[in-house]
Amino acid sequence: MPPFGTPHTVRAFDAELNTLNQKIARMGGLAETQLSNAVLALTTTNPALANQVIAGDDAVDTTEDSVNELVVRMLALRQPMADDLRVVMSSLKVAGALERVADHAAGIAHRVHILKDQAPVPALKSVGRLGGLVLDLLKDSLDAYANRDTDRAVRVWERDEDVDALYSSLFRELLTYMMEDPRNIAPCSHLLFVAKNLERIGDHATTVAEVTHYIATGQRLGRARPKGDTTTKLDVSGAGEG
Amino acid sequence: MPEQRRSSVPLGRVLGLTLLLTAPAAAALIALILLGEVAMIPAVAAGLAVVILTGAVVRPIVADLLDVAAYLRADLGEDRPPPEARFSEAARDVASAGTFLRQRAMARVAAADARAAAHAALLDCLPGPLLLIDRVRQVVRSNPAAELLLGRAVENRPLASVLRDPQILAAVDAALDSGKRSELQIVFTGPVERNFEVLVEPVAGNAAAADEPRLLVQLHDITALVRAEQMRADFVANASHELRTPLTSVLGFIETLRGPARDDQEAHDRFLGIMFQQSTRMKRLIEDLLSLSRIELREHTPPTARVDLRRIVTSVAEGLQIQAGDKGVEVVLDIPASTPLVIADADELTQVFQNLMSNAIKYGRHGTPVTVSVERVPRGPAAMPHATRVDAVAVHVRDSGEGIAKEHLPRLTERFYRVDTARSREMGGTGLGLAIVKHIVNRHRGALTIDSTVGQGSTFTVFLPPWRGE
Repeated sequence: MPPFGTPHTVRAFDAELNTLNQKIARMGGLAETQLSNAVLALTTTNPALANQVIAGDDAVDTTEDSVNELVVRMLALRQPMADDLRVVMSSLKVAGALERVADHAAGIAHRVHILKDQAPVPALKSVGRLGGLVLDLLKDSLDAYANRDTDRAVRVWERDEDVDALYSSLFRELLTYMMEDPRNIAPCSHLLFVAKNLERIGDHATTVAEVTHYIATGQRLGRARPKGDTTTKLDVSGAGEG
Repeated sequence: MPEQRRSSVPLGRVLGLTLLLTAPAAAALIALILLGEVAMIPAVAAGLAVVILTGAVVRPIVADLLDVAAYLRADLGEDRPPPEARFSEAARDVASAGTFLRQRAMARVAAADARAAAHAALLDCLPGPLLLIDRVRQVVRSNPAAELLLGRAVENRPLASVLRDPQILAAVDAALDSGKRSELQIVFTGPVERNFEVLVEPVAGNAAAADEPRLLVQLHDITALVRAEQMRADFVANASHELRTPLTSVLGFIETLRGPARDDQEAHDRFLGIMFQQSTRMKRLIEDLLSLSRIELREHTPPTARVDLRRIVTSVAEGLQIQAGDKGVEVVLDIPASTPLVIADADELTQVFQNLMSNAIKYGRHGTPVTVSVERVPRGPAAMPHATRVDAVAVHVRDSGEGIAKEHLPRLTERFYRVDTARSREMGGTGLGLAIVKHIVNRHRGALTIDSTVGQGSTFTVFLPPWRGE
C-alpha cells in the first residue's frame, strides 16, 4: 500500500496499519468468494455448495470482530491524526460493509434449499446475470480500495446505477411471472428476496468505493448518486389477465 | 581532485607515542642527573626539547597512519583515492595493501552481483507468474508475468492486497506455519473467467535473515485445458443425445411392429417409412461426424492442388436442382469467366458449397433466389493467415430467408448449435454442417464470414487463396 504523508516515527503503528489492511483484504476475499459461491449455488441448484456458504459466514464475522478490536486498540494507543485517522476509521466502515455482504450471500444460500424443491423459474438466468454484475462491482470496489484508486472508485460508484436498473427490470419480470400463473408466486417471491439481497450488496460495494475516495482525497463523493431503482414507482394495479 | 583532508590528530595519541619514544632518552638523562654528570636544569631543558622535537616528528607520522585507517574504513563502493602518506613508510605500505584488498573485494562483489542479476533475469524470463513471499506475507520479488496478470506493480506489498482469494491465503498460512506444500485450482472471475493452478511451496533459505523469501507462489494458466475439457464433455453429451433420439424412436417402432401392430399392413407401411427416415438421419449424422474427424486430422496440412471454382459450384448447383425446385427457390450463379483458380482440395470444396448452398435453399423463402457470386478482393479478412490474404477469392452465398439474429452469429459454426432446434431437425439437419465448412476452410487457410439481417436474409462468404503461378 503506497504510504503517503510522512513516515511514522512509531514503527509499531506501521505494523498495525499493515495488519489492518491485510485483515480488510482477507475479509474482502472471503466476501467475494461467499458471494460467487452463493450465486453459483443458486443458478446450478447446488445444496452442498449452499451449505458451504452458510458455514463460511462465521469466518467473516470473526474477522470483523478482530478488525473492530484492532481499530479500538489503535485509536486508544496511537491516537492517529489526519490521513491515518481517516484510514483507521474508514476501515471500520469497510469491515462493516463486507460483513453485511457476506450476510446477504448467506441469505441467498439459504434460499437455495427452498428453491431446489420447487419448479425452476426462467427468471433464474436474469438473477444469475444480476449476481455476475454485482460480483464484478464488488471486485472492482475492493481492488480500488487496496490501491487507493479514486478513478476506479468513482466508476464503481457510477456503475451502481446499472445494478439498480437490472434489479428493477428483474423485479418487473418476476411480477409478470407471478401474475401469469399463481403456482409461480412462491418461487418468484424467494427470487425477489434474492434480487433484493444482490441489490443491497451492490450498495455496499458503493460504500467501499465512497470510503476509498474519502481516504484518498478527504472529500465525500457527492450526495447526488445516480439512482436507477424505479421499483418504488412501479404500478401493478392493472393485473389480471394471465 | 579533492584534497586529501588530513584527519585531525588527537593530542593524546601524539603525546602517548612521543612519551613512549622518548622514554629511553629520558631514562638516560634522569640517570645522568642522578649520577650528577649533568646539571639538573640544562638536563631537564634538554629533555623537554627532546620530547617536543620528537612530538613534532611523531605527529605527521601519526596523522598519516590515521589517514590510512580512515581510508581502510571507507565503504567499498566509495571511490576514494588512497591517502598520500608523506612521512610514514609503514603507512604507505599499509595504504597500498589496503588498495589491493579493496580492489579484490570489489571484484568479488561485482561477480556476485552479476550472478544475482543473471538469476533475476532468469526469473523474469519465466512465462508463468511467480511471487516470492517473506515471513510477514510481503511480496519480496515478482516477475513481469505476475505483474501482467495482477495488473499492477506487486513488489513490497502485502500479499493479501494483491491476491485476495481465501484459498490461496490459507495455503500461504499453512506453508508459513508448517512448511506444507499446496496445489490448488482457483477461478479468477472478471470480464473473462480464467482458471489457474496455484502452487504454494516453501523455499529453502537463510532462516535468520528478516526479509528472505520463504515461499514461492506459482500460477499456471489452465483456462484452455478446462475449457477444452468442458467442450469435449459437451460434445460427447450432444452427440450421444443426437443419436439416441432417433434410435429410441426406431426401437419403439420395432417393438410395436413385433407386438401390437404385427398384422396391421397400414401400420407396417407407415412405421417402416418413419424408421427408414430416422435411420438415414442417424447415418447422415455418423457420416458427418466421421467426415469432421477426418478433416480435423488433416487440418494442419493445407492442400496444394489447383481447382476451378466455377466447375465445382456449377456441379453442386446441378445436384441441388431438385431440392431447389421443391422449395420454389432458384439458384442463380454469378461467376465470371475470369475467375482465377484457387489452391484447394476439390472434394472438400464440393462439400463446403454443398453444405452452404443446401442451407441457403433450406432456409430461403419460397420464390426468392439463392445467389452464388464470386469476386476478387484485394485483402481477405483478418481471420485469414497473412500469407494467403492478399488478392483472395471471395465466394458469396446469399439467401433471402428470415435472417439470423446477431447474438447467434458467433456461435453458428459450433457443433450442434442451432438457432431453432425443432426446425433444424425437421429439415433434416445434423447440426454439423457449418462446423465441417469451418474446418475445411481453416485447412485451406481461408476464412468464413457470416453477414445477416433479420427479416432480409443472410450471406455466407468463403475466402480462398488464389493459385499463383502458371
